[in-house]
Amino acid sequence: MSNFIFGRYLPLNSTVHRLDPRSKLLLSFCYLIVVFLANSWLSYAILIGFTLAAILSSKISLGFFLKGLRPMLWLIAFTVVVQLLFSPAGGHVYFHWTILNITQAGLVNSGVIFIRFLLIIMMSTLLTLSTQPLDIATGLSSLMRPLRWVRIPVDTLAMMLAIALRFVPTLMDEATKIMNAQRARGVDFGEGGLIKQAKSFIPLMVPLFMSAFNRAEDLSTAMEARGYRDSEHRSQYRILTWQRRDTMTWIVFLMVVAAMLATRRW
Amino acid sequence: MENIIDVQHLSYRYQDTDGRPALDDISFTVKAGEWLALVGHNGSGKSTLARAVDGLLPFSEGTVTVGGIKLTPETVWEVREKIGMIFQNPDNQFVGATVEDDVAFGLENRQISRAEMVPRVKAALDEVGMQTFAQREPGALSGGQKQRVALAGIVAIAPDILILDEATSMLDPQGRRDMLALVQRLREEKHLTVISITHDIDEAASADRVLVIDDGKLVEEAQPAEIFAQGERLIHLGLDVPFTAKLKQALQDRGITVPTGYQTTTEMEEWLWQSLSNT
Ligand SMILES: Nc1ncnc2c1ncn2[C@@H]1O[C@H](COP(=O)(O)OP(=O)(O)O)[C@@H](O)[C@H]1O
Ligand SMILES: [Mg+2]
Repeated sequence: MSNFIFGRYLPLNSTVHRLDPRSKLLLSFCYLIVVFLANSWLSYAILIGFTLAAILSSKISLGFFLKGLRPMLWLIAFTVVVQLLFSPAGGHVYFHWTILNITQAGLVNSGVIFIRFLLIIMMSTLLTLSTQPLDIATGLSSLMRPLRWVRIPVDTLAMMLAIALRFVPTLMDEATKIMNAQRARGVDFGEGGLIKQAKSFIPLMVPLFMSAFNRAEDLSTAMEARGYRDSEHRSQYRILTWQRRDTMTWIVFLMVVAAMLATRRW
Repeated sequence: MENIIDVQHLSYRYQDTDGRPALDDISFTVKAGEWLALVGHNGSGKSTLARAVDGLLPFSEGTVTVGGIKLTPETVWEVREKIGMIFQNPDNQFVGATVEDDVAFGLENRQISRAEMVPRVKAALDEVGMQTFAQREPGALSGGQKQRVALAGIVAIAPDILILDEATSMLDPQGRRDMLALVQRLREEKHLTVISITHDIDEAASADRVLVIDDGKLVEEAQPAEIFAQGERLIHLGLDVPFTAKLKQALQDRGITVPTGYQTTTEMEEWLWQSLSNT
């Protein structure tokens, strides 16, 4: 279960780690838009520079980012190849067969798509590697606070997310224990054909779900006994503080955006 | 001393159990500052009773009065303010992502400001000796440590009554002893009234009074010593028979006269020495 890349946090002590999660979340979101605004090679070069600088200042080795890319590899390859084979007309035609053709414009397009993919994945991997899942949840709920005005129960959703995150390791441990117990009884996990593999997970999933339901019942009783009524009328122990380094990061980011806009084709 | 808990003719039936009620006409009182042990075999209704007292069950027959307040749907939050409860499974009552978040959970529910929460969380963790673990996640703690954190969460909200629902049953013997010692200390410092539901003989022996519940009925009320004198019957009452009682039974079976009443291990040891040197 250790090849879980989503939400894998690498506890290091870097500026990027210490940024306010709201700052990082908002920046990652803006970055997504910015990547789609870039169109000239120079504007892409500026974004690549920014991304590399961000990765370097997180003190996380590039290897982790490449590992993070691996599960997305097929999706990237597929998109790039489709983009290439169904190129729009334009520039030199390198290859032509029935409806498939590779043109210069197609080559450029697929290059652009590849870079966009890479930049976005790198940045979101940086977000999850440098931010604890709970901080992401806290940051998200803080950013979504205004949605309460349209009657979206932001605090309840945040509580649910926090509890789910709290129980991920507990249930993973339990899954491992159940798998070992079932292996001892002769169940083979992950062997045979697809159907057989899927079937072998029934002796894992059934006890796991039963236990999760029992835990949920215990937990709700315990929460109620500790005075929990609803998530909307509570104070917050865990608070987020916007610091100078957050402001600095945004100044740098806005300068990069300005440079990118100046160098893009209008 | 006044009665801090007063339960009269309490009955409760879970909807999906058509047969016998889980609680059947239960009446008892608890004095302020008393330590009451509640024993009984599995499924006898101990947890149901504890939940009813804390207003976690919508019972309709009988009355529960806590600290002079009669438990009704309107007063349930006020009553719950006075009671802290610790459950059996250390994992399933750990709500926070870290130790300090978990201790703060009850304070957050009471909408206490952060400025006031921070010192209270710290003081509560100091009280149970977990201050160095404040930032730890539950996965990095032992069962005993998690139960200590649960106790800290209760210390932080300072209730009058502490209910332990088999809180030590999933701990190893050392963890049990530590937890029991901690509860005893907190009880003295904070003048708590304690109700402990237990199968553990040492825990029951710490009590001033023992209530025995069987199939939803209160069947016996006595001093720990009187209960433990009943040897064999303890198993039927739902207590783990202590070693000294087993030893006495074995000696009696061999025609040796043994002292009546309950002896601690040390008392029994002394008695054995004396009888050996007399022969
Ligand atoms: N949530 C529930 N729904 C239905 N029946 C329950 C529930 N909880 C407990 N019971 C039943 O009520 C009886 C008393 O249970 P409980 O109070 O948990 O006993 P104890 O804590 O003494 O082991 C048992 O017969 C049990 O099966
Ligand atoms: Mg129980």
